[in-house]
Amino acid sequence: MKSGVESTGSAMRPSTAELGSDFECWVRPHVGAMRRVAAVTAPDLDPDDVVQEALLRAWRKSSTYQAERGPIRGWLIAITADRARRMRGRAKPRNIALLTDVDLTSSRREDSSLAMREAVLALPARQREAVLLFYYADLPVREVAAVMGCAEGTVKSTLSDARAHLQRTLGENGG
Amino acid sequence: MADIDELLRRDGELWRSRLSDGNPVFPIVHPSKQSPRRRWAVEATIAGIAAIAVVIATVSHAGPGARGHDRTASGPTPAAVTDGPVTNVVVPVRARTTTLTLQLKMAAQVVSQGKQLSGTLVILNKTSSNVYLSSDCNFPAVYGQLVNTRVPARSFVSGGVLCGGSRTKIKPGSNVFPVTFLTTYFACGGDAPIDGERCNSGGSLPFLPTGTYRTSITVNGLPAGDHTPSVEVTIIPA
Repeated sequence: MKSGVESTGSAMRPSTAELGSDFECWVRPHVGAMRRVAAVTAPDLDPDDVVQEALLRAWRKSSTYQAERGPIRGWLIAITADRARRMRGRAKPRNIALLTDVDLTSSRREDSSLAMREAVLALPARQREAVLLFYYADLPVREVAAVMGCAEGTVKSTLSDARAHLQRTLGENGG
Repeated sequence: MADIDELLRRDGELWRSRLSDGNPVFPIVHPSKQSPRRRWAVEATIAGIAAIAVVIATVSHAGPGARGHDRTASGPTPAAVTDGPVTNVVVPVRARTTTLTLQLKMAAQVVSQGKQLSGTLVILNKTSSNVYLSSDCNFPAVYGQLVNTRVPARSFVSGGVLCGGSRTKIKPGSNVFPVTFLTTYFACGGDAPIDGERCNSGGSLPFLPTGTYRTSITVNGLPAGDHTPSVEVTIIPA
């Protein structure tokens, strides 16, 4: 049985026979970033659940992806953040991350982390989101802006405000 | 005190290292409060999607291009239940292009839930030169699904993620494309079920309801619905 199919796309445009493995190749490098975004955006959810939904969403909505608007990573991360926000609203609390659950025998480094994270959580919402995405999810400013739906300059100024806020908070607490 | 930026970077690094160790939550969860991770679910999702894509790449399934492609069926009397080879049940052709004629051959028109139904789409190029079907994404060139009023065309993918444009060459003469119609949904599960269907208890894809369906075939690069033949198919209980 012959087939008239001939894919003339580039490496970024796999033939149909390559699609199965290519989807995995496209997505797998970004799963780590997606998990981090899920974890900071919906801390009371299992990030793997969020990523799972985000992947399915990406698969279903892949026709909406426009390569000229940016790399696939940013698109996947934006989907993950969106899924996390939606799921956060309807999910039953899982293991709520309580600061009081921290092991009191933790090391000095963990004590330092605890103080920092308490201060981060006390930030105004936009500043907190920017800090979590930039410093903890390790996203570049461009991707933070995409997730937050604002300009890169806004992200930078928000981060600057957040650092100043944290400086004051930690300074007052003897940090 | 140390620079806030540096402190945040160090703490972010510490947090990420814990996340990669299986502690995903922020800020900190006591180990006794942590539930088992479900990374297998992510892996299964990726693998499942890849597997579906492989199936589609070699046979066929559904696509957004098939939306609205739900018209009156035509075709011969239903044949025996089978997922075997094509038996040349030729469906009347509805070709409106001047250069291409499409013809669908089905192995059978009755199929059990969970089985696959094979078919063959023959695209006849009536010209003496190649015809290229260009589309945003060739995903794949030909694919189909079973639709009816209760189960409309399901959104699947047109592949923008996977390709930014491609074209299919239709050589002069007959171009044969195998088409397989699945009798299951192609995604399921979760608190927000894809396609509104929950997975079977074993995690497998749920069956389409029994009843009468029509084939809906999309040929990327051709306007949906105007050219592709359709045939009535009955899904019976497994």
